[in-house]
Parts: sequence; C-alpha cells; structure tokens
Amino acid sequence: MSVVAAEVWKWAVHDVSFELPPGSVTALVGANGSGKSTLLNVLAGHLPPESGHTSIAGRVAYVPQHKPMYKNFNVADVLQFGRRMNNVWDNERADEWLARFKVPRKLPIEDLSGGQRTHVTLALALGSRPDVLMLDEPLSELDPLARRKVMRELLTEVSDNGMTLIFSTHVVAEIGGVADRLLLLAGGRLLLDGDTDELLEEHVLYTGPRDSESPVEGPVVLAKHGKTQSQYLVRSGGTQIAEPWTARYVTLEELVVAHLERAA
Amino acid sequence: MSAFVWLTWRQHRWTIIGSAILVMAAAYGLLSAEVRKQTSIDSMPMSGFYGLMVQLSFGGVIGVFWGAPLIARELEERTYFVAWGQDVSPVKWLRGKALVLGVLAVVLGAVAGIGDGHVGDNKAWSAFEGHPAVQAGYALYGLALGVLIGLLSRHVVTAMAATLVMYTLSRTLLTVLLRDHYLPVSRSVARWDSTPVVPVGAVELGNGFIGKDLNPVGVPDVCATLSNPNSCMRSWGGAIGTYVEFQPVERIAAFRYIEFGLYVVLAAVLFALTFRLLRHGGGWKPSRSHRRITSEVEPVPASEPAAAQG
Repeated sequence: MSVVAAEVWKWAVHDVSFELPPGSVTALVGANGSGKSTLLNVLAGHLPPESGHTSIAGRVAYVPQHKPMYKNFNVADVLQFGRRMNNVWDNERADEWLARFKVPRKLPIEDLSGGQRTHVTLALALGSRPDVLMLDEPLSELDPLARRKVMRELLTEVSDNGMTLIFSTHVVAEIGGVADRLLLLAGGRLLLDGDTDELLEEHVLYTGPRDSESPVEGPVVLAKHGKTQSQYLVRSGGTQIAEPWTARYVTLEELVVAHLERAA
Repeated sequence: MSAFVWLTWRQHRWTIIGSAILVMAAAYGLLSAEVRKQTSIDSMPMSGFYGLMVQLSFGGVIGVFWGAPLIARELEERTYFVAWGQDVSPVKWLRGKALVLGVLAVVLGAVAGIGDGHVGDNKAWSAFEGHPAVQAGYALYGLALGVLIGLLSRHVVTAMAATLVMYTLSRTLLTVLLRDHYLPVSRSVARWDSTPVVPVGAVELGNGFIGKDLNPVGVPDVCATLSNPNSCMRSWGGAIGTYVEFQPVERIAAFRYIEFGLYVVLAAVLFALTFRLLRHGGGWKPSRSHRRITSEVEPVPASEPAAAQG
C-alpha cells in the first residue's frame, strides 16, 4: 500500500482509516469544512495527528489549496529552488509543464494569475518526481478548458510513472472518468471508501408508486417520497424488480449527493 | 550547502545588502572620527556619533531584520509548505539558513566593531563595545533570539517588535548585572591619612571602610545615620582606613572575550531550543489568531445582537 491512514484524529478529522494502492487515482470529496484539507495536511506530514498514524511509501509532493509560492521568485527561481532543494529533480518535466500551459517566465509569482500560479506549484511538485502526489483543490482556479487539460496531463503522468495521485475537490463533476477511487468525507468522518466503478454498480435507484418500504432488500442510502412517487437509492448491487417499479444506475454526482444528504 | 547559500541570498539579499551598507558606513564613520581627532578635547564628528548608534544597536538590527522574519514569514505567508515540502527537512532547512546568515552576521559584526570613534588604540571601558569579537557575539545572539521569537510568534511584525524589546532588555540586564563582575574586582586600600589609589582608566565599582584584617567592614548604626560617616568611622575604631573596588582597564581584552563567549553560549542555547521546537513540530502549527483573512473579516459587534431588540 502506498498510502495508509489508520484511525487518524485531528481537529476536523475523526477516526479516518483507509489504504490506497500504488498507482491509484483517488478523489477526496466532501463539503466545505468536511476535513479534506486537514486530512491532506496530516498525510503530507505538515500536521501531526492527535492520534492514529499515517504512512506513505515513497516521496511526497503536496500542493495545498492556497497554492503557496514565494512572491518575489520568478519561474526560473522556482525551477532552481526545486533543483537545489530536492534529491531528485526532473527539470525537463517541470519545464514542459510550464511551457504547455504558457506560464510567463519573466514575471514574479505575485504578478501571475491564480491559474498560472497553480501551474507553477504543480510544476514544482511534478519536477520532484514524487511517488505520491497530493493536490488540494488543484483545479479551483483554472478555467474549464484548463481543468480538463490538467486532469488529462496528470493522468498521463500517473500512467507513465506509476505515481499515486490523491486530489480533493468538492465539485463532483470533476472526478467522473478520472478517479478510480473515491473517499467521501462528511463532518470529518469517512462516509465512503471504495472503487468508483464498484460503487456505481452497487448503487441502484428504484422509482415507483409511493411506498413507505423499499421494494428490494439491502441498505437504503436515501429514500424520497413525492405525492404519488417514491424513490429509493439502495446499495444492493441491482436486484431484478417487477412493474411498476423501475430501476436505473445513478451518476457519481447523484451518488455523492445522496450520501451527503443522508449524512446531513 | 551551496543550495542554502543560493536560497539565502535569493530570499534575503536586500536585507543583507542593506545591513552591509549600514555597517560599512558606520565603520567608516567611527574610524575616520578616530583619525580626525587631534587632541583629547576635540569633540567627535557627527559621523562618529551615528557610527556609535549603529554599533550600539547592531545585534538588534540583525535580530529584528534577519532573525525574526526568517521563520515567521514562512509561517505567516504559509510558504512553509514550499520550504519544508521538498526533500530537505525543516531542520536541515533551518540549519542551512542559520549557518549562512550566522557566518554573515559574524563577519558584519566584526566589521561593525572595528572602530570605536574616540579612543582609537587606547584602552577605555567607555569603548567596551567597539571590538570585533563583542559585536560578532551580539550579532549572533540577536540572530538566534529573532529566529526563536519568529518561530513562537508566527507573525512577522509581532516577531520583529518582540525581538527588539527582548534584545534591548536582555542586553541591558546582562550589562548592568553581570559585566562588571566577569572577573573578581581589584581593591585598593589606604589608611586614614591617605586616599586609595585607583589606576587611570579603571572603572570604580564601590568603596567603603576596611577593618584591621584589610577586609571591608560594615558601617555601624551610629555612623550610618550621619551624612558623612567618615569622621564617625575614624573615631569608632573598628576601621583602619578606606578602600575602593575597581576593574583595571588592562582587563578589557579578557572582558571582551568573556562577553563574546557569553553571547555565543546564549545564542547556542537559543538555537538549540529553536531546533528542538522545530523538530517536534510544536512551534509552527498554523494558529487561528494569525490567519490573515479570517481574523479581519468578522466585524466586532458594536452593541448587543439584533435579536435582543426584536
């Protein structure tokens, strides 16, 4: 396992345990203030946990949510910094990233836009050739086009180099087709931890006439009742069902929202 | 190590250059004041006076402008994620930076202590601080003090102010309480018919009466109430003369190196404490009170909440 968290407690994080295999892409999803950043800070070693422990196999690069960088450095200084402060440094990789996203070379970081600064911090993180890359809301300051491009490039880096990627977000639309694992946090607790495809297969939404009982066996995630209709999201793996009930798979977004609604 | 030379220069070059200019100007002022002085009653030119001001405060300048922001700025602007998120550990990072800045501070301190502005080659207690070793010790101490306070306060301006206060306070207290007694005082005694002889340039530390064994005796109550107890002591019979305690000016070199050693030891203790805090992650947890945005957005309610009126 490349990343392990065992019964971690810290401020907004309560008793979180999980294991992530090497080479996986994990999305850490949760509402604002659900403890995503705290959890990442603990994993990256910037905060000691109150109890529990974390361990990470290999070198970590972490880009926090506020994309910190020395204001008066320019791009060349950042690359120099990365080269001198790391045992392993792939200048080409960092340089390519900056070229790909057309980050101005001459300006100090404080004069760059938020998105450009994101690219600089990402380039620094990627240049150090980490085994585990942790990104806290990496796409928050990027335009819609750049979001896709960044995600695609990151996935290429993952498949080319066997890197493990963890990124947090509260925009569920961003993780469809990207993350192969989902960690769902609410109120500091881990609601869901699993393979995204498996989760999607397990959850089925049944719609039918108003009924106070679920039409199929299995844990009900969320039940909604209209005037004449009832909807049950059941985590059962899809059971055959007779008329008048209909069944369909849900999208990742519906799944996440249902779990969050239940937790709320 | 070259990595830290580069990083320190890249991040602190303007403070380093500024301090270097200040020190060179002060040293020039002090040295030229010595040269221009023809007779002992010539007054000091203003350049010498400003040089003395710089010399007096140099350790504090290093502490406030080099030491205090070193860690505090990383914590306040939350760039410690960058500084300590690479392959170098926080401890290595601080060791590298402290070493580079420490060497520079010692060199600049030595330059600041070259001249003294008025006595030149003559020894004088009044020019005690005009010595390279003494100034180097102060600079090192100021740096260590600033770094520790920066780590504890996590806020640049707070750290600078606290460093200034603590540096002034500690220097003053140590000077007043300790410096005159680094070595046992010399005592000059005399019988009633003469006065104790104090060598030229010595600093007088106290006087009183001696008994038959040549040791100081206390003043009995009958004499203590008088404004001039001398004649009373003479007729009382318990004392055979008077004494003066002093530190001869020949000891100034030894005293300067003791002062240097004292401040180097203090700096070492402060650095050890800083590294200990940094290693245990105790000093740099992001604190709620100093987060820039959240602390200012929330307005302070001027009166009771509106709910009380409704």
